[in-house]
Amino acid sequence: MPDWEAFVRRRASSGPPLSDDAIEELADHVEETYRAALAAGLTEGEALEAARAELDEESVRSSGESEPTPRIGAFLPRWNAARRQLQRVNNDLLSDSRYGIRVATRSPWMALAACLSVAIGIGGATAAFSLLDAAVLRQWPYPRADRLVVLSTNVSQYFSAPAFRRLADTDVGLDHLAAVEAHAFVIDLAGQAVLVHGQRISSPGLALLGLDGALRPRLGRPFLPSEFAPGTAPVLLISHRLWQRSFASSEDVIGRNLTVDGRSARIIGVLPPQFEFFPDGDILTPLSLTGPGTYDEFDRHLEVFGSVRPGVQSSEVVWWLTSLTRTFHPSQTPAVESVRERMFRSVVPTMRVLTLVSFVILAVCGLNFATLLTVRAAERRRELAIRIALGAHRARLVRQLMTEGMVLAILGGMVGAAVAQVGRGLVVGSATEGILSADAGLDWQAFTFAALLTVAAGALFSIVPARRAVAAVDLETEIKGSAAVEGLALARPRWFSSTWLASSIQLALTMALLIGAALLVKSLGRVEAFNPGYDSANAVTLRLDLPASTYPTDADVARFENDVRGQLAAVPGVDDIGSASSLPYTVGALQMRMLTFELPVQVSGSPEAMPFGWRVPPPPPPAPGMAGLPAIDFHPALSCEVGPFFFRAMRIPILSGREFTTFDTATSTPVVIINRKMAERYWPGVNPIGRRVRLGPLYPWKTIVGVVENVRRFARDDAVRSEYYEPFAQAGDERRVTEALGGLPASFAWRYATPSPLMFVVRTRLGPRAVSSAATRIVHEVDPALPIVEVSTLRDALNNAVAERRFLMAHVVAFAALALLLGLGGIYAVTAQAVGARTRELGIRAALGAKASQLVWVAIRDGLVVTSIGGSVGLLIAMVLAPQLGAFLYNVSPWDVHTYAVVTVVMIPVVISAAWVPARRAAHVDPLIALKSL
Amino acid sequence: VLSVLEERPRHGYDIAKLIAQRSNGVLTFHAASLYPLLYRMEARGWIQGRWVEKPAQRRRRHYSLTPRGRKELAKRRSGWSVFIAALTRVAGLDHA
Repeated sequence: MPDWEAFVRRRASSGPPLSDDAIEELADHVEETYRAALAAGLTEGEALEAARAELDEESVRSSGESEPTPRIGAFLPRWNAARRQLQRVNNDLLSDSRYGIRVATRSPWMALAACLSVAIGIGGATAAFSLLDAAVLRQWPYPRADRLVVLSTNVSQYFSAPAFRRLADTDVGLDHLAAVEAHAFVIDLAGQAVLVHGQRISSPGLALLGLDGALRPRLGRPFLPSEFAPGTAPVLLISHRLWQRSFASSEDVIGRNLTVDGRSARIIGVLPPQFEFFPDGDILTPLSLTGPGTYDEFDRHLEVFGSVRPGVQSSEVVWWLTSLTRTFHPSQTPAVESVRERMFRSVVPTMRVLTLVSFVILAVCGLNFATLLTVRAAERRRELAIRIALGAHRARLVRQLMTEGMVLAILGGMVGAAVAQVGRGLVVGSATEGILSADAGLDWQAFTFAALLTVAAGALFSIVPARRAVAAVDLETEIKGSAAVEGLALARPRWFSSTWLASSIQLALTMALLIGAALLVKSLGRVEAFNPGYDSANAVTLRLDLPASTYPTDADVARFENDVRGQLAAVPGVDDIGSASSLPYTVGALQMRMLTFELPVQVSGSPEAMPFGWRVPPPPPPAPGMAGLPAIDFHPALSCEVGPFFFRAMRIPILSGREFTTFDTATSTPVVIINRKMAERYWPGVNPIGRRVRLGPLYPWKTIVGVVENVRRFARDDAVRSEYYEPFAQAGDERRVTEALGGLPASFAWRYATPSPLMFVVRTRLGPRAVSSAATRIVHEVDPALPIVEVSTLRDALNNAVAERRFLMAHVVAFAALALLLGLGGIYAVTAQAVGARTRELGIRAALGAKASQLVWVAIRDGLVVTSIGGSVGLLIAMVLAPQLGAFLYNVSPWDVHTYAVVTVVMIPVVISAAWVPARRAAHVDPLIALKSL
Repeated sequence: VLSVLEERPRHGYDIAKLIAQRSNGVLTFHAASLYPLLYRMEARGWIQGRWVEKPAQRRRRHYSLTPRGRKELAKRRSGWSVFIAALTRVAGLDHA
């Protein structure tokens, strides 16, 4: 008799593959047919023919079978099998999940702790991711985002108009080279003068930033080429923000005329909301680089942006630029920097620390989760054993435990996403400008990240405990309940078991986080305790910007200052009042000037670094008739104009000499006051009072009449620089000299077109609001068109400066506290479980006469060994990671012994108490119960 | 096929034989068309196949009617009887 299966296989080989079951079935059928044929008396050949006919498609058709696709069905068994398998897994999954939830509700605290640890881990990581995403990863809306560069030189980040024209006329591998001039516009909004920051931009800027294409204005149109010509009617684009805030998102804003810097300008468009290239810019106007005022080589005020041409390396651009500048300014070296990089440079250190911290916390949470699952699985060992005894596959049990773990993880993950949402709100809320833009939204990207992370972490941290728990089940011990075996076998428990390992790693990471947090707290404490050089308490500050149109000269500014100061001083409750062109930690008009001294000075110390990348400029051009004179030594110093009794109002100590008074006027002897740093640098060991300084040969000599204490201007950890102060009434040397030399060059018109900042510091116990209302009234009386830009306090200005530190510190501390909480929970759970497992052993010990304290010691001894190893490893981890905090540590070494010691000393009792609470139960083990169960 | 399975579960060859017998050889199923049909019906949930092993015999797949198959059969039956009655009337077969 033929091999029917082979027969079927052969016949079926032309069609789709058949499953083994189907072949078996068909073979059976064919065989039956064959047998029936033989039984009916056919010959063997005829029977074989009949059998063959069973599988013959021709015969199928001729037999009138209505289904025309006989072999397709052969697929079905396989497919069905796969589907059934899937269904089974699916059903298992559902029932396991349901079971998991039931088990979870049976030990709610454990479940809650597990959920919470996932929630915290996922929440932290997601929040960090969404910040990172917003700050670094997100696509920029500008068409050439990745190729946008900003140019600078070693002298300045600003270029003069002639220098820009040379750049634009030469091919240096850059496209759409655009000049941008920052400008503070005074606009008239419904009769009220308001200061609005904005930019002037040259025509290629439109294409560079995509304003003519991808980023067309939300309303209206971009600038026309003709509007860049000098002398055309002024037009402006306003930001989406300004449009919403000041124009109530009204569509008919287009075509409206606005008084800007005293001139009428027409609004032609509203920028799209995603245009944030100039973070503080609310107005964009065309910049013309021809015409008067654009020929001064030394008037550097333009920022230059461009896009690197595709296929060109930025190093090539630098090479071209170098060869160009060599011709004109041999001492300068140009540099090219990616705009994106520059924007995010300040954010990167914070982000790096936050990301690091959030991943450490994720690991801590994951380990905690795994520990809790393991502990729980250990408690359920008997249940598992019974299941195995009843025939459950071990793999199936692993799957069930994993599913239960995943249920908790997913619950936790959902809470975590919510935590991230809240966390994000806090982050954005507490972040001041410079840390992050407000657009750090929790989006789908971050949500997907959270979901993937949850599943990955949940699977990772639940598969290990599940596998171990199931593998550890010993039917003999569990089912027979052979207490003697268990109790005595565990007399020396494996204290390097996975749970102890997990909780010691957790403790190590927690320790590292705590040390990081402690270092940051200490650093912030030092920063806050630092004396800025003045008294920041009870001092309200006012800022005004005097537009150049109404206050063209320094004399006008001085007159206004005098009027307002006089009236403010008369307000009841005001103790002292001072004024300055710049106050510490605020934006003002601090200038870097080059001074020369009447008598030669011995300069001590290395050259001073100036703030904001200001660099010592090349000497000024020789004035007419001055060429050929010997070179003069110029020394850089920051300068600031102040009013009478400024130092008293600021409570800045006067070290020697006197304060400016109302007798220092435009006609009296020109005087200056220098800071201690300058006195020590140029007149070490000599009294500088009576020495004279000036800006150059054509400038008047100014006599030093006082030395005051150093003041931190920019940051508490910033270097102190040489500074001098001059009275408002005597300011304006440059202008007077240039006027004396034959009028004001057009370039000065550029510079003086910007408003002069004027700040008042009001020493008072009145709150800012009271001062603000009085000041508003007074300023309005003196000049009705002038807005008060800002009311603040010296304290707030100081606090804002440490906002970033505070922000980071708060986060690391919060994370460290959470990690500690979780870690203690873990230690508690593990000790509790260990004590539970050793009840019988402890009972025997008690029966043999061990004292309670000895029992406790036995119970926690192993835990302490492990945790102390964990803690030491944590110290090592902290030592490795602490330098990452480098930039945020002020006067604190990353390896500050004191901090490490304090954290360690504090941790010891905390950890012991976490283990001690459950261990105390060991002392109350009843020997009778323990022995009875033998 | 459904009606053949109505009384009790049967294996494929049995089904084919029974249909041939009951129709007096008018309806015959070859294996090549019967099994795909059975698999399809199984996929639709009308019948369910189960491997049955008996001592000293090779294992066979027995097909039984599922509740859904029963419902389907009832539906088809009423459909057929209406159809056949109509056909009979239209073709005047009764009077032939």
